[in-house]
Amino acid sequence: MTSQTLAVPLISRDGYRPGGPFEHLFLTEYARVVGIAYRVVADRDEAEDVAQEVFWRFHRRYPDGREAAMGWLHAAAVHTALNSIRTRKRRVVRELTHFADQALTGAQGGPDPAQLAEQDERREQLRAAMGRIPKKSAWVLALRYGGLSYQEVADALGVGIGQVGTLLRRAEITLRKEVQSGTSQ
Amino acid sequence: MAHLSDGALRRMHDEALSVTGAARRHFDGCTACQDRYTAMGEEAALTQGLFELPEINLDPHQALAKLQPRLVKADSQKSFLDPISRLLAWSPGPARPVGLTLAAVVLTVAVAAYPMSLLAARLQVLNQATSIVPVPVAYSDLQDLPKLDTFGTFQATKPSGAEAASAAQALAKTGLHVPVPANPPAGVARYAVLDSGHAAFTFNAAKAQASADLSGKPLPPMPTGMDGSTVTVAYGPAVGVVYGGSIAGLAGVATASSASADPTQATIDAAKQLPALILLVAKAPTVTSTGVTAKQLENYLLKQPGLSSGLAKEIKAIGDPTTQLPIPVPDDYGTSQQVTVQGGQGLFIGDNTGIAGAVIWIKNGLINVVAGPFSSSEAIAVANSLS
Repeated sequence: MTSQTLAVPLISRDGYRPGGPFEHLFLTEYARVVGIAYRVVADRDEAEDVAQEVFWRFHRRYPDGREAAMGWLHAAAVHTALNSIRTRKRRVVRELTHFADQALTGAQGGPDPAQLAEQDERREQLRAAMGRIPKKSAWVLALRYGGLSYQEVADALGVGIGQVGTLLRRAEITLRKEVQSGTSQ
Repeated sequence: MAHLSDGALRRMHDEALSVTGAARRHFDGCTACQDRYTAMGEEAALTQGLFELPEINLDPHQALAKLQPRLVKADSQKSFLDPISRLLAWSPGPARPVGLTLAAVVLTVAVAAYPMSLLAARLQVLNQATSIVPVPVAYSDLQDLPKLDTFGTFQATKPSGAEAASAAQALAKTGLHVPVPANPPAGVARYAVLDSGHAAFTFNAAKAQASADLSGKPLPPMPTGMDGSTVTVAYGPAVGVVYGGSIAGLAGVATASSASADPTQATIDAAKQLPALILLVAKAPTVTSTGVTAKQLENYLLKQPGLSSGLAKEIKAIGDPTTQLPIPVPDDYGTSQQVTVQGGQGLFIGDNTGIAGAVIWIKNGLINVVAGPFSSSEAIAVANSLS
């Protein structure tokens, strides 16, 4: 094993600076981090909450916003999103609000509430299945369907790029079986 | 040539140019591979359907504006322990490596005492701790002190930890024997090793002066010989064994107080994942200095603005800094008591919830730790049973 010298930056350089490298990274990567979380939580507000937490943790760990830590950022998005779907309280409140909105929209001649309810049910099935399948499967699915390339998925998972296709294929089969078994229950 | 693997075909579906050369020529002439490719594409489309979600329009600038106050506030509250906290920072991953977590645990024990260990430095003389002394510290005490990097530059080797397949392999890698309890808990024992490493701090008088000018808060002048002097804490190697549970629970307990808005609840949550038993043996850390003496450091620290009278009293009470290893105990979240273990002096540290505890002692130049969901008597009983 080898040791790597790690220079811990000074606080004067660490501090948040408008227009600094962290801000640049945030603006360029925000949509991808939300996109990854969105594939897990299937809820826009919740995905944005996850992204806030991920970038906050990222800033604490890599205050200079180094791009070499991109894999960490993407991995943290999945990790935090999977944790988020285990805590349902806030989502229940949101869903009640969403349900009330739907009813109001229907009364005003908007999209069919039955269709919206069906869409929500599908989302809930996906979310539940992502929470039940093995963690590694959920990770590779969220990263790939969140828009990352195979190389970026490999970087986030810490595996060789040649393994990603195999992991993804297995994960897809696992997820479909899980969704089907959830639907038939 | 053999048929293309499922993984290669799956990637080819998404990234058509990923298959080249002989593999591509095989695919072009192989109907079996082409049929599998087609079937795989249809299955991938089904999965894609599952992930079809309404398009969302995001406003990254608005999201950044929402995060900014939190970032600015955090910067204003940075503690001088932050460089170490960053080394121990949470890492995401499908499976957190045991070795990496061992590194965090060893650093918690050996290097979290870093600012106090500065007191143990002596000119060109190695310091070797032979006993442990608790230093109760309130988090507010640390927040009020000037930040460590106000005075110079901190550098550390990245902890290099790994899992070991067995106690024998851990011994071969580190030269340290893994202790065995008389009644090991049920469950799989997992072994981990940590290479030796170091953390070093170099004092810089000009930087300290610049920080003082910038903040408008004067600092005491550095004593002769301190400017440019480097104090180094060397730690490791170490071995550890974990029985049952999740070792991540321990790191959670260790960092809960600084990582959560509700430290007590975070400690309880983390402790639920605690392993049944953790044993750790590490070479006692040593401290060297290229210039500054222990007495100079102690005097300089005691002159710092913001040092509470309570903490000053505890620092003065450390006693002989050349043989004692100070272990900060955050008194908001934990308690400590001197105990007798394996016939010598040791320290029991427990969290305030009573969920978890650890006994620490130094023997024959080695730091020993027994940790788990223990009271002091339970932890001592396990420690005394080790062979």
